[in-house]
Amino acid sequence: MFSSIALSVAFTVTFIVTGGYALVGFALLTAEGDRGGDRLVELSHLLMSVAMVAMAWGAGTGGPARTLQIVVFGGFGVWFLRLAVLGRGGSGHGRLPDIDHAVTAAAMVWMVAAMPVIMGMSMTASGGGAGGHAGHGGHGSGGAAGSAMAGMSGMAVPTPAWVVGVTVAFVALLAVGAVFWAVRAWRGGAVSLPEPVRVDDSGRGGTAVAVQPRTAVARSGLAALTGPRLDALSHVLMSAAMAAMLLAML
Amino acid sequence: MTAGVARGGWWWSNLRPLVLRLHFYVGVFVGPFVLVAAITGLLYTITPQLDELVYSDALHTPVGANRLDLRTQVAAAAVAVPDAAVTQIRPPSSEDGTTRVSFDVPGVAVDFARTAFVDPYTGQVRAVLDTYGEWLPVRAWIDALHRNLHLGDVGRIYSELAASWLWVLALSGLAMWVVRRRKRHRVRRALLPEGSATGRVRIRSWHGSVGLWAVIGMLGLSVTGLTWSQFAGPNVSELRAVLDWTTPSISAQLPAASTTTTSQADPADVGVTADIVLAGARAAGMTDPLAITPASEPGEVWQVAQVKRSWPLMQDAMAVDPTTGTVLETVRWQDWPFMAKAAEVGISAHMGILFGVGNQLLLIALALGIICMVIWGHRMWWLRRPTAGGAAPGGMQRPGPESIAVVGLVAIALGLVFPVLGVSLLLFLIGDCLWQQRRRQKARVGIADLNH
Repeated sequence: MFSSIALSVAFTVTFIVTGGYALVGFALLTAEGDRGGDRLVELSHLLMSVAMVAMAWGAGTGGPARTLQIVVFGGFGVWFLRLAVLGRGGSGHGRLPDIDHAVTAAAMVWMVAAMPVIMGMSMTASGGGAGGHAGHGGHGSGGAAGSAMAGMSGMAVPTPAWVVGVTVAFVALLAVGAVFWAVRAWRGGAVSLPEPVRVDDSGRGGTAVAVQPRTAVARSGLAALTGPRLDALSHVLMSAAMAAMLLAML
Repeated sequence: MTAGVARGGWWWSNLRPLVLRLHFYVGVFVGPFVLVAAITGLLYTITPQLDELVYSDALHTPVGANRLDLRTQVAAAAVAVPDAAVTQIRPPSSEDGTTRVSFDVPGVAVDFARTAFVDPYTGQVRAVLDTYGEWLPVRAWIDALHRNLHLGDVGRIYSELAASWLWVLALSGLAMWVVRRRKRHRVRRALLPEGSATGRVRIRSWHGSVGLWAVIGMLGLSVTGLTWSQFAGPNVSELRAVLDWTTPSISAQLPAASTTTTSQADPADVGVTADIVLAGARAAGMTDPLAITPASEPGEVWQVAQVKRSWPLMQDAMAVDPTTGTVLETVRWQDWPFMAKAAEVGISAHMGILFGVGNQLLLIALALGIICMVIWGHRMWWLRRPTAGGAAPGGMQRPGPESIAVVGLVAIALGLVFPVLGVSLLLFLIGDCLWQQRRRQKARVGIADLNH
């Protein structure tokens, strides 16, 4: 994807870190019954990180993979926008992270959808899922060599000015987001969320609800790898790296 | 009541609740697709017998004294299927067999050919059928039903979904069934159902013991099925190419020095060339059963390849100069990479053609076992459904975060190689997250109402 292998490696390492952190966060929330966090946010971070690693090497840029990313991240964007508008039931500060998530998801959609144009390349036909046919002799050779992960090639075409403008706008928004999270990390990373509620899922007649007070809990195991400040720093890394990748694509 | 947490540091107590939930949710959501694949696959196992029943006249002919040359047979076939290019010729492999001459005919379904079945002794065309490779129409219909429910490429997603998750179901079930708390009569209880048990425990014992017997078969069906799936198939092919596990193929081009002027347009010419090519291949040691594939473009070789897919497989292939009958290149089955051979053998076993009736009976037993397991599994879920007073799978015991993280990492890797598995898992996770958020939101509203 990039002429510099070092750049691809740098992006890969960055998004492996953010993806790993998101995976740990997702695992903790799943194990603890979604208390004190949003699994959908962690899932979106994880998917975004995986997609960015693939993109750094030019994979997943065509065919069904491209369509899937647009649909998934577009859906995330709409969801976070909805949360930003309607709120989560917490304080006003709680909406800013959702606004940032919506912007990041939109940037992801833009990156995937407009990549060929941003990079000034025409898309070639990418391989679909041909598979093999059992009915034909010689099935052992089956499956087309091309796959849905085909990259881009072909003639260079100039990038339209409006595309450059939109890309730069997203870079600016992501930079603002990175600063927002950097400030939050500096201040200790505390995020105002609604009081955690655990729903009794034993299924025995009705839904018993218990409100768990926030108490200081000794953090051990995977939980020791996370925290509000680290959450904020992970967001800084993700926003900054996405902005950098958009710039590198121009 | 606080949520139960996976006990202790022992890895299985950390992992088991996750494995249980995985097996349960995959079984509930993907089980119906596995059921359809098993039922259609069961139907497929009897296609060899159906072929003989329905197409006996096309496949067999009275034995005569002398066989006609291919030139005569192809000419006879061309009269029955006029104005079409010959794509393949299969001489009979038995005394009472017919010669198949396949044609590319506009208007025939994609990947199908129109095939004339010719009496090799008299030149009489006994039948003209639309064939899917070597499959006759009934088998081709059942094959399509199993592959895509006759819904085209969209329908292939169902079978790929089943194949992608079947091995997960098999392995997770195996893990839970084999690693159990009660030690008394462990081996007997693992291999056989508990006759004295009742209700859900009895159903579970049948589900588990049948699953144990069927696990190898399920893994085999899953792995081989994925090799020709729509999305995972190309990834598997790429992996095979990287590891040099691909099936060797013949170079299609004639040497530059070749002076062939064979016309491919006239079936009479094709028939003459077929005789030359067959004679050259036989002189070089090629034996039946075989198929002759004419060159599709000028300057290309003709191919003669063995087409025996039952044990012992015979898949030797030769590239032949159509003008002189000289064998230019030979690829022997014995020289295939081991994994390419294993894939070919596995696929034949999956289709029930590897070792005859025994293979078919084994597949029938496997299909019936899978059908029963899916039904038993859903029966257990029904008996334990929340509205019937049952608890969630795994009860209050929650999986440990470490096991979730490790399984998550594996799932990401698998999801990239097996896209249908990845996308279906993603859809489930998003749905689960949204569902849990909605429940918490409702509970929050409920608390707010109580506080007022």
